Amino acid sequence: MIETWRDAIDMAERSVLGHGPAPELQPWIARELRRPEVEIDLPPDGIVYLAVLLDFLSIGETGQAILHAGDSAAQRNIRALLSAARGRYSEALEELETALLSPDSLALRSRILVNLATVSLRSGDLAAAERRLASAESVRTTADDPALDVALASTRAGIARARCDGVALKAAADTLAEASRRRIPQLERGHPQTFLLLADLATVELELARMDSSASKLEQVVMALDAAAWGIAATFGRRHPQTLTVRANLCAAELDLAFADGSAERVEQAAAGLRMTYEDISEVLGATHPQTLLMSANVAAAELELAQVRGEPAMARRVAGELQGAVDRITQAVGVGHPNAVLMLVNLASAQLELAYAERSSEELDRAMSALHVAADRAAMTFTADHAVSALIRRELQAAQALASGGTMPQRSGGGRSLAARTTAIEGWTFGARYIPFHEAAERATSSDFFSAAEVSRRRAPQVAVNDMNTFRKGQVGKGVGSTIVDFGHGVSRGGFWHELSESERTALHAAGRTREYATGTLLSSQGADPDHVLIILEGWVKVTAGRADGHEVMLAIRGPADTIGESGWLNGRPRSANVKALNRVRALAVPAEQFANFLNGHAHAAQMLARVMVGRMDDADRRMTSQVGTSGPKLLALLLLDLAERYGVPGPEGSVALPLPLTQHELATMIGRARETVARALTVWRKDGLVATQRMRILITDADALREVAETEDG
Amino acid sequence: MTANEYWVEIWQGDLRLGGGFVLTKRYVLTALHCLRKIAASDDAVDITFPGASSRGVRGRVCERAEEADLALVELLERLPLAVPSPDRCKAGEKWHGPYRPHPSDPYLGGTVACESVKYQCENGSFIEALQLSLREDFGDYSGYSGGPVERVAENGQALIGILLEQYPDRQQTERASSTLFAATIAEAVRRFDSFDVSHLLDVLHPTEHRPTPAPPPAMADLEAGIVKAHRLLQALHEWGADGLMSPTDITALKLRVAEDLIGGGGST
Repeated sequence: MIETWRDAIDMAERSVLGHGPAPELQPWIARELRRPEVEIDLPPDGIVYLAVLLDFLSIGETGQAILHAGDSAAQRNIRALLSAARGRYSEALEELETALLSPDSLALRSRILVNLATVSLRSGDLAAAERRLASAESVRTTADDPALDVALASTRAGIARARCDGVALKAAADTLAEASRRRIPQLERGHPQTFLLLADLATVELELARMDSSASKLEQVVMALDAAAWGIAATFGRRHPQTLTVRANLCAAELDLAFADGSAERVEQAAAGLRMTYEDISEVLGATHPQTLLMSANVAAAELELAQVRGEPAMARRVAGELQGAVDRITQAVGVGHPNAVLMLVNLASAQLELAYAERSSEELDRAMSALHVAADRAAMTFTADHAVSALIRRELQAAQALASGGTMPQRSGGGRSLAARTTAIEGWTFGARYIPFHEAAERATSSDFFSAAEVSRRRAPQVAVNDMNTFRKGQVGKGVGSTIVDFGHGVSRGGFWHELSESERTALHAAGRTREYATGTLLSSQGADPDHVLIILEGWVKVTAGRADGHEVMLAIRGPADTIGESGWLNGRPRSANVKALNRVRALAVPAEQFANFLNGHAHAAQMLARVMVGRMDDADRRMTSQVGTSGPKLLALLLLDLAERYGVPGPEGSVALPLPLTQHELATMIGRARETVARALTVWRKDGLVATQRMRILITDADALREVAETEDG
Repeated sequence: MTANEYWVEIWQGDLRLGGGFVLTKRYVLTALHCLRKIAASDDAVDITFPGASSRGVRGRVCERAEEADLALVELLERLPLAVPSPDRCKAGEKWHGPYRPHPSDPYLGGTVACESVKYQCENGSFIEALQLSLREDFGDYSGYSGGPVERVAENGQALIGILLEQYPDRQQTERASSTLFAATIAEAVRRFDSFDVSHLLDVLHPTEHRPTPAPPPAMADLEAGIVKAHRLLQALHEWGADGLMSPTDITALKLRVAEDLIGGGGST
């Protein structure tokens, strides 16, 4: 029971120490803050302390509200940290600069300076970070302050990492380990801070392990991060931002280890883990948070590596597009000169170069060259000439020039894939991205399973030749491997509501709503929510699911471009009946319910079209229910694939049809109400018989007639 | 093995002691009262996986938290275990207990009544616990102690506690009520030295200047010592397996051997 602000602190403390959540805390504070004359009867430090506790409990917005009730330097200091945690660096720097003008004590001054250094580092201003760090050390009041020493060493390590300075990083790791050893005994056993200290040191060690190419060190890092993520999850929960940060670094370390091991399966697992963590981070921190953006780029980079390990240029080409999008968004969020933006740009340019080589396309090479030049200019502005990234970009430019003039590309350092310079670090996050030469992948691609024209032709007419690798010259556009890859990004839902509208109706509806973007995995609407708006998908794919009473989720439908979402809840006035989650990046038009009603009232044709779409959906649901009774799993799957192909299929080479939906086997299984194994088995057989070709989350129907035969054959 | 099959049964020979679950790749967590059929000094147990086809492995009771009625068992063999992530829960959420003492017993499940209560264990001390309501309103569920409690989550398993006690019916104390208590995972983390991160910190970043009270033995001496110690440890292991010495005595002797070797003593 909370009656005073001191009770609130007690409850928050108990909760932070792992004695269970405190559901009444937030409503009580909100109620108190709504009083006409708010009075928080705590000293300034008490207010700050409570705000910090609330942030740990993932209710930092409430903490912010408390902090805004006062303007002491201590409050500003914490307010700034909360802003920084939300990715608002300039706001944080401004608060800290103001706090520095009137610190309550020297001890506080040194902490403000450390925070200034940390936020400067995150915002990409390394010189300012170093300057602030030196000031913080000069004003410290006591030699024995392990918490301050940890903060100093951690920031110093961050600067060394950004500068690729191995010697400084090693020294910072020594100091950090020593300060952590002094700090841990000050905390009670099992305190979450002890696990955070371990995670912090492990992240620095990860960087050192990369620099030394030490697999045994990587194993230790993975072990430590695993333990830290586990301990933090036990106290804060598995989806707390702190847990997710450590989990992300764990995935990055596992990816490194998988590469060291050389197993495609392990790489695939690690990349899948990274994507899963990204989806959680995106949901928890929001799609525009710098950490989410960086994570999206790292996922794309990891999947590019996976494409190379698997020898699938088609996949690499698709992922390179995603990386391009991620780089644009990061650059917009943190600025063109930020080290992370530059590193990702270098990664992108490098990937484009590899693709150009694999596809032997002069257009691709021209594009790669110009990307490399832009990356080189940006790198020159951000890093010194002897920085590993600068050296890397020089090597890439040389390779590109060699390719343009001679048709061959020199082998680059470390076989092309141990480039520790391609590391991104922000707010204690580190990710690696290295590439293996694509020419190897392209060679393998001629006989591997991927959706190129070459592959489809090979299945049907083995005599079709693939261009000789050595015939590439600048100006001779290759039409071989990968050059006519099916583009999965532009599937269209035929008969969708949007397509049925006239140009003037579309314009009117557009004016009534707002375009929104959702990252992969974002929940667009949730079961039980108010039906306050209708969405019309313009780009991307979503899955519609509903929770059953036993806690399991059932897949109801897939919706894509031109489809509407949320119209039935709006029509019957009941809460939303299903969850809608983005399967990839989604752009949608969000129209408030009232405006949507006004639009339909004024456009009889549009209302008619909506009714038609809805009746069609009901028919589909009836048909699906009828077909599921007594029908075999493979037959149901064949029916589903043909149905999806008819609605959303993209014509591919040689009469094939690609399904542009990023669906997992599990999701396909849920849609037909069968086990995942049934789907896996059927696809294996069909792949062997040449009915379909598959990739991770991609299906190409190569022989629709044969698949139709399966669907029409009587069971039994 | 997948995370679906992480709950275990603890045995000593043919004597079934109780349930538990793999908490981390190295440790099994159980209720201490499950181990009351064996002596406090007796730490050798066998672990089987009833939910999986995996064979059993040997374990060692490495820590007993008397005040919290919890015990930690170290797995003496490494298995490819997928361990579910620990998590927090909220009142009103659904919970599920995947462990049952016998295939003919029902699975437990219901609603989290309270996510954090100060609960007094049978031995009188307090722990932070989850108060759980059972879906089925009847019966005595002894035998389920030590089993994991999961939050029914959208994506994968989320481990939230360990079942410890069932509350008796207040009217008829010989009857059990439909309320159970489980310790949170954070409570378990606080109770055991094994979760202290200091040793991991040392593995990750060994201290470079350890105090060395005595000069280290010459390399040749050290190697000879290691060979000798190895032989002795092997003999001790065999004597233990043959039942010639008690596990406690063997552990004490192994420790002595290790101390002597590190300190360069000559008693080995």
